[in-house]
Amino acid sequence: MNFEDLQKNWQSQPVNALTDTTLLKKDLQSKWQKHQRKLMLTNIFLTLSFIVVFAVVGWVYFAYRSDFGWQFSASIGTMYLLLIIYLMVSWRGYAFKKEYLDVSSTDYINYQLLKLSWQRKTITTWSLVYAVLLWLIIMMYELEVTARGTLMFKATTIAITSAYIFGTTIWSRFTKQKKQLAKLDEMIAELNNINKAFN
Amino acid sequence: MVKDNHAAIYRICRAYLYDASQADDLYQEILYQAWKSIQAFKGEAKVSTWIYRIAVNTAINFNLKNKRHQHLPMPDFFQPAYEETLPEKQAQEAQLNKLRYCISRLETQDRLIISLVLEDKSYKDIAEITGSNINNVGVKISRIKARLLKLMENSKQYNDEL
Repeated sequence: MNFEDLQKNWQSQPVNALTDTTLLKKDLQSKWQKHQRKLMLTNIFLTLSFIVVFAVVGWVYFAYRSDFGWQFSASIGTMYLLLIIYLMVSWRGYAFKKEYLDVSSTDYINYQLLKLSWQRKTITTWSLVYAVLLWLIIMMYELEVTARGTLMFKATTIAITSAYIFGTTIWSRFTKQKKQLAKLDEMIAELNNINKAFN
Repeated sequence: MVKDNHAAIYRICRAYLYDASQADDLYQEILYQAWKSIQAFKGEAKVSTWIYRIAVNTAINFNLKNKRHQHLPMPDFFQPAYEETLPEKQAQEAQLNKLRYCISRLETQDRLIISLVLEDKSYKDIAEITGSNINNVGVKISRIKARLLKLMENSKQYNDEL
């Protein structure tokens, strides 16, 4: 038995398949496409939530800016900046480029890997950096706003806010983000395996 | 454009997925993706390269979507052929089933490469479709061919023993 015989036999096999594209299933979605859709919805939700935060914080700023010092303005300004940067980081993980299947498989896989790696970094690194910076900004804001209060009042406010920010960050890391990371790692490993075989 | 290559695409699907109904689903998805991408085709690559790239990339995505394809069912070639078919036809069909089964024993990514080799694609074409280095393609193909022939030989012995 040689390979040429196998090849000949293979090519002679009957093909009983449809070629009418109107009969094709259009609802087939790959894991990657489903993942992209989910990411887009999450980012849209995040953007809308941030817009609400912008509006509320903006109202607070214009209503009370005359009562406080420069720390009040600085904390609100940096909060705006941080939220905008975090939105940009989140959207960067989304593949805006139209999916071109007619590029070489290595290019196709590398683009998917690039986006998945960024999403992974957002979860493992950027969300933590965001939480720490947000905490610092809120601390600056709270110290200014509670400057005239008692020490006990200041300490309680700081403790509650810190517990909330770090509590939700840690909780999310061990529940939601853990699942997200497992899914991302699975997709990354599969794509890397295929890429390795092609190169 | 698609009709000229539909037989080759179908065979790639059969090589990639042992289960015929799964292969049909993949085939339909490839045709749908080709139909969707047809307006973007600028003629920079050969028509066959363009369509094979779509086929291979869709197959990669299809595999990410559904892990069920990893399961290997009982080989068809152990089953008796239909009585009414001619003996030569039976032998050819049995050989094909055996080949499909042996291909299904290869690694997922190797199945894609061997499906292109079985379609008589040159090393250069395969390198263009997959985006690999042409020298690496040659080495890989030799390894996959040897593995496939060995699997065919082993399954022949097993069949004879039965």
